[in-house]
Amino acid sequence: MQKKINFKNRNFIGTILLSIFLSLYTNGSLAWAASPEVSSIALSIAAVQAEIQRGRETGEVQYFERAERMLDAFPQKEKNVAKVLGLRAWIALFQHRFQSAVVLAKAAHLLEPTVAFYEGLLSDAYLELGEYDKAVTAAQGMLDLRPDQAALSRAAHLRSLHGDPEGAIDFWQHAIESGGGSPENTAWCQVELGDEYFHLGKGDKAEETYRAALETYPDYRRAFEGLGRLAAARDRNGEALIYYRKALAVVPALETAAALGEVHLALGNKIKAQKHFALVEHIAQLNRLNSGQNDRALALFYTDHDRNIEAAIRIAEAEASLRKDIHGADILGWAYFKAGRFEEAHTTMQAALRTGSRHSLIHFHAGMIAHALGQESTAVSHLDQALKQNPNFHSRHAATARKTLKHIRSKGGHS
Amino acid sequence: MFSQTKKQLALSLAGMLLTTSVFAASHREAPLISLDPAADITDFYAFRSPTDPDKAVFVMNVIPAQEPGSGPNYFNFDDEVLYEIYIDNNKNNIARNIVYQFQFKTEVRSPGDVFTLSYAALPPITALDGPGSEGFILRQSYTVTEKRFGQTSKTLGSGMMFAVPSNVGPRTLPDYEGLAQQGIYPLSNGGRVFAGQRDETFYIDLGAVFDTLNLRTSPILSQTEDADDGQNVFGAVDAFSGFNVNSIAIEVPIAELMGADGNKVIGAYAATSRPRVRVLRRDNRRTNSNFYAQVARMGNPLVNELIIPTDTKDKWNANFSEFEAQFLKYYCNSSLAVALNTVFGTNFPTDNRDDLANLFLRYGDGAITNICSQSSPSGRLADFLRLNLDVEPTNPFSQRRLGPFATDTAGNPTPDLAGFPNGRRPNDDVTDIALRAVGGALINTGVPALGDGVNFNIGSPSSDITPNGIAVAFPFLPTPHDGRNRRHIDPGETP
Repeated sequence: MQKKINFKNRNFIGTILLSIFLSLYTNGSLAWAASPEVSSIALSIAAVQAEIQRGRETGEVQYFERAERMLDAFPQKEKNVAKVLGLRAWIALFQHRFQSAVVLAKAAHLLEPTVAFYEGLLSDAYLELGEYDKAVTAAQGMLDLRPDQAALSRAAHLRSLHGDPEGAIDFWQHAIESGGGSPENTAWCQVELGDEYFHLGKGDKAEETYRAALETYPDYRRAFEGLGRLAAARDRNGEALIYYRKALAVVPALETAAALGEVHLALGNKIKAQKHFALVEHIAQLNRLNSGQNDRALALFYTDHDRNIEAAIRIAEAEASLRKDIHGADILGWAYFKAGRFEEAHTTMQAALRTGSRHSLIHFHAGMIAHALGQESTAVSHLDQALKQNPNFHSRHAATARKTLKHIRSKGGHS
Repeated sequence: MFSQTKKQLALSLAGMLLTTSVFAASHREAPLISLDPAADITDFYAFRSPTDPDKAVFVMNVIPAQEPGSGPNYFNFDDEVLYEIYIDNNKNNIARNIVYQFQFKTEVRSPGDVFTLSYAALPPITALDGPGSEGFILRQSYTVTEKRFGQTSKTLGSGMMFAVPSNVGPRTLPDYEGLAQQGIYPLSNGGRVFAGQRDETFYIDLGAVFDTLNLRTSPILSQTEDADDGQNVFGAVDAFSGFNVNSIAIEVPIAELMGADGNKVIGAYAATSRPRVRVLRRDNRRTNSNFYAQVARMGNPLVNELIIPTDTKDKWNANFSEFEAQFLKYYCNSSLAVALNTVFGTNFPTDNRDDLANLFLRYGDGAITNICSQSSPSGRLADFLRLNLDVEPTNPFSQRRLGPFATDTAGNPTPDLAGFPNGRRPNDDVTDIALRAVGGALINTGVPALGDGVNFNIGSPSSDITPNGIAVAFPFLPTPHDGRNRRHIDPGETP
């Protein structure tokens, strides 16, 4: 990623956000700046935030570790103030130490129950862990304190997870209209809304919304990815190439490289596809070096392309031991399926379905697993749901779903 | 990039700074900090109308610091926000005697068949409704409701009322003021109402003040400088010059406002609220649309900015003004006085500021009551603007920005009692008044003429204003800067 220092650069915006965070969450009254003891704490917090921002930009573990060491060095009486605990919670989230994030965010929240920020961190941590009831409670706390874009974003996502896309859309629209701290935040919400439309099969509305996101925040990677996915699902592969390339140019993300490879496959460009799949592996390797972690997006990539299934299972199982969210369960279930471990796949898939999400991919996976187990009426119900919700949910998988349904129905009886 | 070999690719990736997808993919980064501009109250004014002295005017401004050229969406009120003005007319520090409520409804008229822009108007917009309004695609209508304590609500408007759109520019809106006039509607209580964009009249050298009082000139104005309400002290910059704001202005006959016993000293504040909602709809127990969460409020100016510490702001905003006793320590222990002393080497009193607590939180009956040294002060404390409707309004051409602290060039007091802290008019210099009050001017006549150096609303394009930018007719806020031609005046520039 070229590090462009310009207004549109996502990371520059992140810096601005952190400056806003600093000004909002340190005492804004002028006495702060006047008192020498107090102002050195303010500077130290600013320094910690700069390290977090750097870590956020690069993904490198060292910055978060440095930020934590700096927090460790705070004078004893400052160590347990809400701000410090909140920063620790935020660092823990980035490092995927979600249990620690919960403990820290909860402590911050108890100290300062009227600061919505800490409820937000808490909701995020619970969400990543898959403790959805608690995530809902924390998000409700946030909504009750300040029904603003940050709170509505979390509530919208939780609605989507619980199978209420229309309710999610309502909140995304409010989140977008109410405006926020930065264009990137609003664009983020617009992409989420676009994704919601996509999952509902409303391709035109999705496209309109992704484009609106680009107007809000030009060259927004996530908007390009949304447009790319939509185009690929509609078999408009030339278009998909353009969008995914733009996304890759901003950030060489693993999923983007995988998606580009997928598009090249669809176009019959085997060599280019392989190049991108190799790129996926390289990015994964660099991620491991940087952060010491494996990415479960890599696991999904492996299973989608029937390669390294054992590695996929290892990665997904390791993740699932740390967090019980439905995406992890979905990825692991699909990996078990590809390994022929259908019973385990079925059990794991139930965890993915437990919140009632209506996203087609989950139902596609569930349907294929049920079919492998000979549970044909369950299979039909899931595959039907996947296609009814979004007939173009994925060019390859949607076709597989249709083929499988046809096969089951032609075998006899099941409708 | 993709014509490189695998090895080169790997090397260049290693050298690049990755926003690693480890975090992007499997960890959501939802927005954590948001502003809420449509519900953000920038200023609240309450004053007796200088053109109709038997009426009072209340103005709440929202959506701060509007850059006039901000197409294509410009600036609109929020349909979900309940905008309210609360009035206390029996001096019990509870402002529920009368509440004025404003709610907006946005419509997108006619299928934007030519342009998708809300305001690219062919033909130009010359009316808010009917012929001449064909280009007015994104339009907001609103209602005004009056709620008197113990009585049923009353709708004050008759017929459709429309918010005046943002001043896009002279081609889209060729006679903006003519259009704005159409946006002044009569109310059934004998008053009038207006909603729409206006010029931001609040003036302050914002950058300097909040850069730890890094004022560009001496903080003490000379007698000549202090007496000149039409000139900024050399170098001082009005950070808001050339910016607009959205205003809701309501004019109400005094007879409608005063207390049952004829009391004419009222308290007032403005608030914005959003409906309470549930995360999951299946949990939705909210059936009564009266469940609202207050998002922002304002009584006195600069309380939120200069008195309440930042990590308490959300809590302060969510609380009603009537429960200000919980924030009393911030009024009594003046961090602004500490800052002034530290920066300028002055010796202003920093604690036990009963004078400030009384000024902001109680009706003044002459004496300053001891509040700060009491562990639980008796009597309710409320952050209201307090307006004595018996005091005559001052003609805009004679208005003095410093209100009671105004002087002539020789330094003789020439107070204008119709301004802040007696209510608040749009052009009162609340920054300078607050600096002097914090310096102790209410209890000590020796406080110097403190000020930020910005003394008036510079560069207003309006025609209906005094030479120093004071609008002379309802809604008493000047014409907004138009998006095409606006200028932000910098130091040394002339408007």
